[in-house]
Amino acid sequence: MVMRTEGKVMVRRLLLGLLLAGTVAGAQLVVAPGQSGAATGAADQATVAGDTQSPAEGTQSSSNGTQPAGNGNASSGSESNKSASGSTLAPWEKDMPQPTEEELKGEGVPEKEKQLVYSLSPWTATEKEPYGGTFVPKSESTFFLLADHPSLVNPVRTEVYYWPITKEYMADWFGFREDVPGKLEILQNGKVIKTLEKVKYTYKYGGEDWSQAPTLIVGEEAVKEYQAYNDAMDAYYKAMTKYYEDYDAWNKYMEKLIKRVQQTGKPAKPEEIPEAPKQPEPPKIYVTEPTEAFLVNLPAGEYEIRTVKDGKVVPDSEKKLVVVAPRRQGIGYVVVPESKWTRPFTSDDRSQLLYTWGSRTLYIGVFDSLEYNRYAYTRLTQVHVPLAGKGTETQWQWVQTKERTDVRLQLVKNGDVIQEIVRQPFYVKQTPGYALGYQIVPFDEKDPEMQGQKPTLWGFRVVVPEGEGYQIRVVDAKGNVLPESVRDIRSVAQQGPWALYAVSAFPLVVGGLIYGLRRTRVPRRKPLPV
Amino acid sequence: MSATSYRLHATRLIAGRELRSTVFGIGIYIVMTIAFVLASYGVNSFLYNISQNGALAMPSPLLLPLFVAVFLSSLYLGLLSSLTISRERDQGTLEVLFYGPVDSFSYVMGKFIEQMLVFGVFILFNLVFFAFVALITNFGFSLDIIWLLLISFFVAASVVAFGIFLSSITKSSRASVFLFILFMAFFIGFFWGYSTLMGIPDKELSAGMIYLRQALDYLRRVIEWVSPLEYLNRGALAVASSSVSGFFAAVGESLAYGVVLLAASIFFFNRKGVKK
Amino acid sequence: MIEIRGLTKRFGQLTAVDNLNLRVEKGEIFGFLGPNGAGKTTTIMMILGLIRPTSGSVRIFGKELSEDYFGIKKRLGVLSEYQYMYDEMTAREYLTFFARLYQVEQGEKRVQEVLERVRLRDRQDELVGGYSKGMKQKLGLARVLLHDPEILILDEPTSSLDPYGVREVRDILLEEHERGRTLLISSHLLSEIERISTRVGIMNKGRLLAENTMDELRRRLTQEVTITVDLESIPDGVVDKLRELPNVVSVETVPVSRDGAGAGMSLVIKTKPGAERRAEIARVLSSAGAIILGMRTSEMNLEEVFITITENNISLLAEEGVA
Repeated sequence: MVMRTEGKVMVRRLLLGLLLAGTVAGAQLVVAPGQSGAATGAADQATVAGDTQSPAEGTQSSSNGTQPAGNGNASSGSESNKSASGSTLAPWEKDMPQPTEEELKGEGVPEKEKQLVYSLSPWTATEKEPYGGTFVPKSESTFFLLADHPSLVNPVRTEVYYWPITKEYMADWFGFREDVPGKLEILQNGKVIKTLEKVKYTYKYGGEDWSQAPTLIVGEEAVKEYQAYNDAMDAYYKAMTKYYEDYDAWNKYMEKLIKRVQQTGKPAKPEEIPEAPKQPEPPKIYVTEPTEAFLVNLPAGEYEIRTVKDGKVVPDSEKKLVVVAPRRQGIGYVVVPESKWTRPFTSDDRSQLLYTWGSRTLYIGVFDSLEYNRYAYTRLTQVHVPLAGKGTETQWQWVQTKERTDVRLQLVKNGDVIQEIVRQPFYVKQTPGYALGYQIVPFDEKDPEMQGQKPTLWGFRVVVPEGEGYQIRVVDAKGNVLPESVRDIRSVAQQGPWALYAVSAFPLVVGGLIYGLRRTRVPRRKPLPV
Repeated sequence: MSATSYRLHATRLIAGRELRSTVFGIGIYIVMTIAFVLASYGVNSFLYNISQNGALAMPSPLLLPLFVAVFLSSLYLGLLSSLTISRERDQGTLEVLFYGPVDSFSYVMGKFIEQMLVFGVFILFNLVFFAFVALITNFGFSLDIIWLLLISFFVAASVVAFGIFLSSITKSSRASVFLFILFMAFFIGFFWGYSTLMGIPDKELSAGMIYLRQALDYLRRVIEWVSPLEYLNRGALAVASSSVSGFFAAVGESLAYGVVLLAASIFFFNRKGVKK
Repeated sequence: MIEIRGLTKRFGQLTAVDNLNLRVEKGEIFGFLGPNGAGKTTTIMMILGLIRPTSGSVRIFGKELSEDYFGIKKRLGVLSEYQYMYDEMTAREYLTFFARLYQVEQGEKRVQEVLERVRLRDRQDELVGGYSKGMKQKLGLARVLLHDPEILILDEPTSSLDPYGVREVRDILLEEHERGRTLLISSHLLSEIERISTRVGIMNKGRLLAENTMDELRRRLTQEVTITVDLESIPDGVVDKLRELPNVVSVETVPVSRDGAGAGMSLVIKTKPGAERRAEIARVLSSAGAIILGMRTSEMNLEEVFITITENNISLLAEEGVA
């Protein structure tokens, strides 16, 4: 359910490229046009860093905070300069939208306005991107948060402009940013029910798996974590310095050794060749620099919020806050059919049965799911996009929150468990040669083809036999069936379409019989003359 | 004999006469055949998609074809209903009935009950057809089908009530049919447009389309109480999501809708009288 | 049986029925006459409760319709001018439906009886859609008789019938009258009304212009007697002399071509009704030397009376105080 924009992918690729080149410090960051990097403040750091692959990337992401805001604009402006200067356009640039005359003259460039906005890092309930990033511009009176889980809210003065290309407000965090001091008052029905003070918070990335979501750490713990991370980084840099020194010494020794061998023609003895120094491992974590925000954790309901400083309400700080809870919760499946592994589909609740064409092999992922109002969930992370979600106020959507790795999947026939399956990694093996295709096989690190690779997918491999009465369901470690995890599986009959069309005509046959019967019983004579 | 007994007696007789007339006609059989051909097309499409993908997850694939079939049947009955009073008024047979012990209540209710009895015939045919389809496709004859047929009965009642209402307020059968088709085309067009827009992610929509979607959403809040299609949709969604409360809410709402329209029909019928 | 008081119906600016007062007594045959748009059908519809009056009241069997809607309706038999029927039903099915609607005892038997009475029994299993207008008219009458109503309200009951059918229907209506049934017959076939009605009411433009027995109406409403005198030639000055006669209204000369007898002249003399005028006219003609070849008198029948009254002599009627 986590949407990744093309721009974010580009950012990640660029960061990776820079890291590989070893040019971390002072690297210039380019963001694709239309990216809302500037719009998302602190939370965007989390998003970007959360998707990066190494600790050093975190550093790079942090440097993101210093680059000018309005990346999309900056990028677009860069293209404009090219065109304006009359330089030859690259072939691929010819197909791209070119700046208009007005744009070249500087007309139509959005005007920035200093505003008090709320920078938000709303909890999204999802495992992969637990915190979104958005801000509440002056023009938006309402924002949304999910119930019973902390989200971060921070009043900030910044420059805001509307970017018509992507139809969203942008905040130039890096051009001008001023934290608004004070307390956050939360009101319900006109009465203050909570007064919050800012707390320090940080995101911690990494650990065993970099693809895991960052952890939000608040309070003093955030400072400690950050300190620990800095210490680890210092140690790493020292180790790296020592490594370079050792490597240099080793290199010099090896050069001498090679020279001697070349001069004497006698090979070096094995004991004369020292082992090359090993590069130290970087820390497996990344912790963002602690910043301050209000930690809002409320039950579902409608509230008003405002920032108060010295007993006075800060102008433009009053907003309506809607805190929403899920309508339903369940177990969702992501099903990858072996025959079309690139076309997975979901089954969000038990009304969505699984239909197979004959006997099929399916690779199934199991997720906790929550059903939220579509409008509220869209606005949750896109308050800065005025049109986002409009018109979906009455719609609902399932959000897959967390993949269940602690469960087993059972194949059941007529109530009897016929197979219990564990979650496994799988690898899609491309078939070379004339018969292009693929094969999904269990992932095996020892297999030469898979060495150095990662599993293509994780899931429960289920071979659905032909026939009736099959179900899948999920049980926890204790063997308890998880509610709402039951799905019926039906293997549909393979037959031609004409059988159905033929059956469709049966009412006509019945009608014809009745009509004919009536006609034979009731003769119709010609009317007599008047 | 009380007035109520007379009314019920007349209602029963009028309903019986109309039912007999409809069953002996060929119209409903043609409509059912068309509905089933469309349903078959839908079922075949599902089968094709499953065969192409190897597997798919969805609510019972028979629900949508059944939805189409019952909606088409409801539309036909609604059309008949929109004709029913105005045509009898045009033909003068209405006047003849009212020479005798028939009043507006018994007449309108007789017409309504007759249409519902015809829909009962539709349901019977649908049951047979979809049971057979479930059997030969192995989609399974789930309880959802029964629930949808049940809700469709109430929704058909609201479509019929809508048709009768139009018939009661218009001067000629041509006008009432025109109005019915106009309203239904609007409701279907709206339903289609709204559903389509809702299915498109925000990022693929232009600003204009998003404003249109928002406008449609506001409009829908009114239309969902006016359009019988919305009642059927709500009922079908309740069935698809196994929402018992949603199901009974849809039943209650469509019943209330039908009662209001029938009461309005009797009121306007009384005002317009039985003469051409 | 039927008592109408101050009945008025307005459709916007148009007054279809204007302050109508009428009584139809038990056992009589009331002929209701009037041209199209006179308001008689509107009156019937108001009697039946199918049109709501603007003001006034209708009482049937001493009750207003609202007091006993179903009870009163069951005791009425109504036949409209045009026969609106369910064409997809057979005659038997059609009558059976109405027999059930009126809750007629031994309905099937009664259906056969009325079918026999209107001579449609042998065609009872044919679709009504295939019936001629006349057959439908008779089937409509069968429907009216089905539940043996106490009051029969008939609008143009013989309009689509051949002369034989007219006689059949007339006989049936007279039989019903003899059985003590009350009949309210609206018709434009005034000869029929003249033959069977005991009392007649004439409507025009929403007003009841006349209500009385046939003889009295004729006496009151016949305004002129036309005397046609065939002469060999017309002597000079005779026309003026005739015009001077006190009861003569007008004198016209009309050339006449007589087969085999050459050309001649006729005088068409219109006199006031009442006394015998022919002798006086003959005396004036003889004294002027005219040779009278023939003389004939024609008095208006009811149809002529009706047309004359409704279109030309409303003011006259008003003066007579009938309206």
